[in-house]
Amino acid sequence: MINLSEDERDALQEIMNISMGQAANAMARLIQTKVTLSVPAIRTMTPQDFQAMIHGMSNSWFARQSFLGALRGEVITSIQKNGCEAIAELMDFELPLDLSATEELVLEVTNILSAACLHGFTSQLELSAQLAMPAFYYPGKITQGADWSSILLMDVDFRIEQMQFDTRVLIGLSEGSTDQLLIPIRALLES
Amino acid sequence: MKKNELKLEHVLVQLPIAVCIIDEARTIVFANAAFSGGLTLRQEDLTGRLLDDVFPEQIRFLKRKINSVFALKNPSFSYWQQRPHVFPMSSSRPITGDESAMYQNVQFIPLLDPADEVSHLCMVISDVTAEAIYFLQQSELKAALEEEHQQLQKLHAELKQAQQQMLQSEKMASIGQLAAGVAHEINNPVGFVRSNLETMQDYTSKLINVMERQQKIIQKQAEPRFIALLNDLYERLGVAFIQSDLPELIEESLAGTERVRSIVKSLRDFATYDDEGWVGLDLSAVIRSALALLENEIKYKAKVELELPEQNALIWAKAASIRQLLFNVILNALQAMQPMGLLKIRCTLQQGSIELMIQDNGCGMDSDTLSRIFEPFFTTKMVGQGTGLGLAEVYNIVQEHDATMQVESQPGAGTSFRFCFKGFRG
Repeated sequence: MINLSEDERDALQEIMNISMGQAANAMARLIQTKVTLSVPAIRTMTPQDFQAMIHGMSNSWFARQSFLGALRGEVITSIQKNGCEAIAELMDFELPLDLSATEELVLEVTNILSAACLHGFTSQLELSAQLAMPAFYYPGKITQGADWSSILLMDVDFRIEQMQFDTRVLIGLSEGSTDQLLIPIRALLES
Repeated sequence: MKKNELKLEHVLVQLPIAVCIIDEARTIVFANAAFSGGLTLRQEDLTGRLLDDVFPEQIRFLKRKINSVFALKNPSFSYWQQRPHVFPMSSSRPITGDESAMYQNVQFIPLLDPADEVSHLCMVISDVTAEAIYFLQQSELKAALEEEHQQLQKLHAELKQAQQQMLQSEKMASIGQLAAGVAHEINNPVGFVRSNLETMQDYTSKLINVMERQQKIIQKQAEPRFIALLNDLYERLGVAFIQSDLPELIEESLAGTERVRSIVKSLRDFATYDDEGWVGLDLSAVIRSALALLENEIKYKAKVELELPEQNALIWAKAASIRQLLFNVILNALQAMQPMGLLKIRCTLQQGSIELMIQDNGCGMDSDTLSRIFEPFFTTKMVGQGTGLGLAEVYNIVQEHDATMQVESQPGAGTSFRFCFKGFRG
């Protein structure tokens, strides 16, 4: 099980606040609309917790994007289905959205947010992580038989106030990567 | 450094993957041979031309991607699944391939200057036609397999149903054989009981006659004391009552044996399968036989109103099947009624056909139930009380006899079955 001390958690929280703020700015710059975000939550999770959380978000599309390097893990983005048309219009998609266009939109939003969130996060810690291409994710089919016992999950919600657009970004770090993450954090705390 | 750049450009030109580099104004600064040669548009040298002019139809989508990369310094992607043909490029297998347009995955990669700003953007187009075609073929194959699987499942269900019906028929045949055996065994003892009772009836009548004459003679000839003693004895033993009751008892017993004989006959008729052969069958006789067998079921449940034609109602039929049909429909009608209901059975001769109507005034059915009554294993009875096969069997019998059937039902008012069989001229 991953254990974080209170100081480590506070430091990570601070880094997350900054990097997620940068991600919201990036998104806002692209769509020329104000994007608000929740306070990022940091928690450790078992496969069962993770599965339960994903299943609770049944009214959403999901996409995932893995990252490799000093940190390994996956960014999972959920986008509420009924908010897709609004964001599509802002991003200059042709309306109404058919299934292919919806998938394209979800992958595009995922790519923007994942990259922005991860970049902000890794650059502050001077760690490298290379994002792979995003892919659609159908949770019910995949989470069976996970070969991990716990992950560190960073969870943040982006919204556009006037619209129904609501998207949630989950950055999951594998057990080994959490140790890698803690090295620069501990160094920061000691300095 | 220059040497390295030159080498890199040389590699890019030679690469079998299409590469195109643009600046922030979307001017093409580099396009390798795979990009230029792959395009279906006839283009002179692409270098220095505006992307918007070369690809006017695609520019809306391309601008969206390009703007995102320049704004966010972050790579972007396009997949063949969502957008199969971003650039107008022909398949890399124009002769042996099935597809004329190339399926593409496109990567939009930011190229950073020394100040870490995006100065150029590199588009890398991968030809995934073979993979895409394979995937699409697999998807079609999967859909075809799923359809086949569903058909097999349906077939399996039908086979299961046929097997159940066969089991049911076999069960009925076994019951029939058992009934025939029992009927035969009962017939013999009932025969001699009846014969003995008839002889007893004769003897009793004679003995009573003799006794009456003796009494008259004694009354005239014997001593008063002897007469008084005898009268006392007769009175104590109830001889007068015995004399009047004995013929009635024998009469009732004979009627009982007659009833047993009639039931046994009906049972034998019912159990006789005639090797499932087709015969000219008198429907009226079969109805009477079925009602006789079901008398015990009927008498506490319903009054029967029977209307049969005077002439034989001949149909070309399998006797056992028609008996089964009557049994199933009549038993269902009885189960639908509260005592005392009214069961109407009417058989009428039509021009070239015989119509049979079986009507009850029981609980009836709603339209949903009515639409499902011929489905095998559909039952409204409690678990274990009905197989749900009775009316499915009736349906099959009607089909087998090339007959027609109409069912009408009203909840609370009752149900009526109307069959129309083709007449048979012997």
